[in-house]
Amino acid sequence: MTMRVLLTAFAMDAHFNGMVPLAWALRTAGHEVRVASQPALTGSVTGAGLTAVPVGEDHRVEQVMAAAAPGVFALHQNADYLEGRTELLDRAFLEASTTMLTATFYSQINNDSMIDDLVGFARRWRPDLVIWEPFTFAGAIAAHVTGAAHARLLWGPDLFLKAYERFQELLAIEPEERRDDGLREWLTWTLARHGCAFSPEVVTGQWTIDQMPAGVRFELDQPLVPMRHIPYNGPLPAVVPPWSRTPPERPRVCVTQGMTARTTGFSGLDAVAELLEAVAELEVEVLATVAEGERLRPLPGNVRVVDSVPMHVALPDCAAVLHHGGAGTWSSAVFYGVPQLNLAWQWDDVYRGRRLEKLGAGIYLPPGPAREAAGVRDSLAHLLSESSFREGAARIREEMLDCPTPNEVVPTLEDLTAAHHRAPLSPSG
Amino acid sequence: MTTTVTESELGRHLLTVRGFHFVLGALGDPFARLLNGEGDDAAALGAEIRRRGPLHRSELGAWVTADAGVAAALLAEPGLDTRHPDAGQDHVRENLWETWRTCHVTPAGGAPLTLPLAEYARLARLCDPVLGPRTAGAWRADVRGAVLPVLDRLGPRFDLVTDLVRPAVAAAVAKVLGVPVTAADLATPGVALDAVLCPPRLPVALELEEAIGRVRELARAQVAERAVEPRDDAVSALLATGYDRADVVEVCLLHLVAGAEIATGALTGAVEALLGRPGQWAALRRDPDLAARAVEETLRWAPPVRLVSRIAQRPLTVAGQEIEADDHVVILVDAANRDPSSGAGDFDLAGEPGPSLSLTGGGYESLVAPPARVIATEVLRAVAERLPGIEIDGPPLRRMRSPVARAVLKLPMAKGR
Repeated sequence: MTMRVLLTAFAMDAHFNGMVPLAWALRTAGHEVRVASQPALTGSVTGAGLTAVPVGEDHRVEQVMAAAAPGVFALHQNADYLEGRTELLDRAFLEASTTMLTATFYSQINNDSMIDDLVGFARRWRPDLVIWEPFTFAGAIAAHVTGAAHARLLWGPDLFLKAYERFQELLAIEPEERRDDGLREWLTWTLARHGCAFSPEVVTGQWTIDQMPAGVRFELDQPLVPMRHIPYNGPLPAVVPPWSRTPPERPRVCVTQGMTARTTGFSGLDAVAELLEAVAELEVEVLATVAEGERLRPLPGNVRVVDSVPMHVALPDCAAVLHHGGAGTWSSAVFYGVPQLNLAWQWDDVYRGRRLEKLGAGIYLPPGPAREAAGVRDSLAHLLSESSFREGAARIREEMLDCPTPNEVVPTLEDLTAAHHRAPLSPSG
Repeated sequence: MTTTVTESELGRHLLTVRGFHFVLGALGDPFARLLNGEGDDAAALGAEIRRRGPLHRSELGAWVTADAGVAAALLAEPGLDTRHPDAGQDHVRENLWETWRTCHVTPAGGAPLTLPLAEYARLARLCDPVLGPRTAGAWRADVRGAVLPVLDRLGPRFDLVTDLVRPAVAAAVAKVLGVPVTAADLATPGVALDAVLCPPRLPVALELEEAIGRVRELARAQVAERAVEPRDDAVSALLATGYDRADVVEVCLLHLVAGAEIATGALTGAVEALLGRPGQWAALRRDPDLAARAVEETLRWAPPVRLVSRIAQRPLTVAGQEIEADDHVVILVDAANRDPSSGAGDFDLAGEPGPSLSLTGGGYESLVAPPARVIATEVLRAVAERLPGIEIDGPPLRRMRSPVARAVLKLPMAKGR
């Protein structure tokens, strides 16, 4: 059976990259694959060797976040939220969080023209399966309207749904007059525009494809398909640099802050130059990715600064990685069993950092004095000297390798699609 | 509005404003938190706003005051009005992330709550001979006659709002105006008072528009009928003064939507305040003529219209601050009434009444105040006489997103001895 599979992620590389290996697997299994997003992502989609469907106008979430980010982050600097103890969150927090995220993020990255155009494309192309990035509710809407099966593809632990489920539990015990769920309300009128009623599946997907290793996964009351994370470098050309062809003479430490901060301002590292100087005091070779136009003062000789390097090229030779906590960097480091020094401060980045520390595969430094250059240097020295970290990282790597590869997941997706599909399968099937 | 706004456009607008209130509330802005209408203690937020100065600019861009002196000056300030001097009043289609306009959140479902102040003054002159401050008292006996049957129907346990206050207020306004409205007709339209500053949920906004349309239709039909066949009611009396039918419809709508909600809020607030202080309730029981004083004390202590929203028509200097033309100004009437610097104390029927800014300022609330006061007073007097043993029998259920009215939806009661 040949399926038509529509993948969709809002236009932001970090949220799209995690979908690429599965898209390849579906394609080489013989399925028809399209990737829909706002026009701004077209180059990244075609650059990944996939077929792009530009839909709607570009979102303007950066403009909104320029005004809203301080308040959004102020609310969410809540330890119970960041560390995944959602059972301790109260209704006031969850209502504020849901309202804020729906107003400033979900409804912005899923702009009306993008949703409507995606629904129009789905009506015409009749996908059998829609796979959507977990914030790209447009995909769920298009599937729900056309009767396609649909699933979320996670890039990190499911903190969003875990918190939302807690919110639903608290709302259920409130009198009807006191239930205020901004996400549900937005999805309700958006679905009504396309002649459909709200269904909780539009928030949860019919099932969820999860790329986290078992020890870092949240177990929710949702059908789950574990899948191995396969490092994909994103839109930058992946080229093996000449210097990397000889093994390092001293332990190599990669210092990176990902690519997203370069375009959005989130999340990056503070005071990179000082950090590099401090880290270079150790008996190590430092490989640092720093954006070309970002001027750094002269650095010690054991620091190599590059604009970028593919993580799947660099990490296998690294003894440790110091990073901002982003999902792509974190997952690639786990994949190669590299101990991590994590300086995350936002969203599920914090949970992943703390969780890895708990599992003995890294160190998480919370924002504050611990992150001063000397503290970072000492933590890195500890990370390098204790062999337990490398053993821990190897254990988590095994957990990741225990998950079926995207190729192995494809038959499961075929079965689930057949079970959930409401419309007749496409004529090519 | 030139073209019809779609539900998605209205929904997105309401969501965006709500997002603004939460985002800025998370940064600690007390006015934004007040507008969230949830969870926070309004009196504490009023005190926090006062601590920020007699007049300060909220992160939302609005100038806010909780200072008794500044509030009084602003309510009397001719340079303030309800509308933008040059721009439209409808911001639904604007990109709020550019304009930051959260001053007229919704068109209030078509309720005439943001007419120019001069228009309220004109309509108030129309009302004066029939429902004005000196004339509204003439309806006292009619109100009492309409209200007593509602009280007599109550069982041993009842809900203060849904079984007593709303049916009694509806019966009273129906009797006075001669417009056949029920409590069900008037339950939703009151949301309009909040919807000017705080976005309702989209389904509520849509329901509001429909409900106000129905009340307007009832008023229009009754005005048309009384124009031909006058009776002993306020609509007939207003028509007899020679005013335009459309004006009489507008006045009816204001009394039905805003007047009823204000009377409801005053009554609910009075019962909560009095029963929360047993000595006060005993005083009213002994002397039901204290009802008028109790209503005034409630208007001061727990105003049914807590926030008054204005737009500067020209540059103004107030309390040392430079307000620019088109700036949004919000007066916290409840907090100003409790400003300790003006000698305000706790709710108390004894002694001289404290200064109160409630229902002043020349907006819709001033226009509807005289009959609303009469209705609230007569219902409260009847309750004190007929139900002297009532007790609160459970926690109140408050309306969500209600920073202006802080409306109570339900309050379980027992009749007692």
